[in-house]
Amino acid sequence: MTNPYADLPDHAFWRKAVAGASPFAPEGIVTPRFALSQGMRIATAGSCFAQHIARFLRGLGVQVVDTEPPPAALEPSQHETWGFSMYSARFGNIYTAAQLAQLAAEAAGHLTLHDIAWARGDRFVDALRPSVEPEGLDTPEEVIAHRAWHLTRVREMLLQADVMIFTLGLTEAWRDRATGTVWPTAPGTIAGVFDPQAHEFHNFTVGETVALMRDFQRIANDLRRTAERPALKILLTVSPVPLTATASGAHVLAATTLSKAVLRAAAAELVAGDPDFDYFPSYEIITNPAAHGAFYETNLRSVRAGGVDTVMRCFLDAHPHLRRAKDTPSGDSPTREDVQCEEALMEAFGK
Amino acid sequence: MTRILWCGGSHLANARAAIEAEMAARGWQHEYFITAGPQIRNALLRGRRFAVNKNTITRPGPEEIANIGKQPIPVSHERSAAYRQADHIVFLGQWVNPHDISEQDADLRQRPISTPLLRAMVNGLIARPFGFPGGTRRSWPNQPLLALGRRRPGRVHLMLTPRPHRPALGPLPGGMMARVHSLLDEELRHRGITPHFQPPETLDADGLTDTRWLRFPDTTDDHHMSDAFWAGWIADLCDRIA
Repeated sequence: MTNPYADLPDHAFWRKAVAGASPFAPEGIVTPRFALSQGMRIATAGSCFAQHIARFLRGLGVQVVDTEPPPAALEPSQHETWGFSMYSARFGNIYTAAQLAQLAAEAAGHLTLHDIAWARGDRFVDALRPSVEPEGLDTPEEVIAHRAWHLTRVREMLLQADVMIFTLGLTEAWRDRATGTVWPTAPGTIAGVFDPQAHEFHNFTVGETVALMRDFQRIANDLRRTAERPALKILLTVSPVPLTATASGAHVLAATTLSKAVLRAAAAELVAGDPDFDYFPSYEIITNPAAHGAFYETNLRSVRAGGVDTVMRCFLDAHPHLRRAKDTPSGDSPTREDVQCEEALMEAFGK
Repeated sequence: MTRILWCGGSHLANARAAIEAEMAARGWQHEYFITAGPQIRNALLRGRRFAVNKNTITRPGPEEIANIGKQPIPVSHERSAAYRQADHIVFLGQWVNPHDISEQDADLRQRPISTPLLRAMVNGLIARPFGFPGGTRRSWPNQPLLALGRRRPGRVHLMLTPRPHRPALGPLPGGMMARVHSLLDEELRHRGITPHFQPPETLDADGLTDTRWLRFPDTTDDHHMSDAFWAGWIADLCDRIA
């Protein structure tokens, strides 16, 4: 007597693949659709957790696209303070698909955003990347000039990359009621002034997230077509980092679950419908119940170095051609440093 | 009697004739120490800190070169005494090169740089300068300058490296070099070091040192300056010190 489960591999069964397996070496959890290799130019973007991926890839000697590199005179220890070397251009954390699509539209010249210079004291920051100039700029005009240069770099990134790894982080966002501009942080937290008449909370759905990622893909590929570049491959991950705070009215645990479920479902829908999308399960590896929360720091939010190492080891196992002959899959990981995360600043607003 | 201790490397060597003449004319005492230059760099790269063979800037002979870095050469008592006794310590060139800001970045002429970021870059030039094998940066080359600035604030001077006549360096956009100089001035004074910038009349329209001031005007050496160049600048520096 046979049944549909009889011939399935071990990884299909919870007892063997999760309850009875090591969370440090989950087998069969990754089945790459397209292979990454040393020669590829890989761009990275996303929420805080994505910074680990860029560092890890750089540590392997992979060609991580960087179209807005740090000035040579800036000490390496200062790079991330100024928003350099975190991602493939100096855009800081991109938490939502809406932010990514909006950035691509700006870079392609389809969209001009207004009111992007937010005041912080007597200085001004770019509301769409508020942390890249920690001391702010002198004038709103300077913010606009810096953003114009930045957008040329983003455009170049979209042209250069063969593959983009994007980590979906949040569904909750704040946006301008009149223009629809989506901000990475709530007005009034890092900079700017919150005005309930002008700003609104929005929690993106699965359908919206899918549509926004497809918008991003279409904009990028339209650009690339003009330069006779093949379609961009997009490798999605979902950040395992829970929300610092929610404005949804729900309990933050329920809000986190919803947010991650939406992002995970959106990723699945994108991968199912398009061979240029793939998914890597960093979320599943870190939240694996077999780890009993061991991959999280004591705040139960930040991911420990051991967790990052496990994710990256799985990543490398899934994409062995990223490995140079002299590399070992573990060891002195380049991913242990702290990450820059504006969203974590929300903690300061808790009572 | 004013006592000056001159420190530096190859630029100091090129300035030596002008220094001798100026010191004699003023009746000031002076002494030299090597604190920069390729030989010092090579010794330091071999693990020796502040290794100095002699308190002379004469080019080392083959034997001295062969021995650099092979034996520990501690900072001598005479050297420490000279630091203490000097009324002024003048570093010439050292490893603070304003032109490194642009030489290292091909796109610096296009990208906007905020003043706070430029300040961080200037700090990088002082604390971890370039110019070492493999394009690496090091924190030790300017340690004598920075340490003495802390100990003898106001008595330590830096004549910043003259701008080479290297077309790739200039011109920079809208006042960027002026901003770099302003920030260098601020940062160096904050560290107890009085900066002295190259006289502007020695620069050409692109902000490079005019070829007539080069030691070899045919530009076979684009960054070392003539006796005449140093004579004017050193006389001016001594007027300020006096």
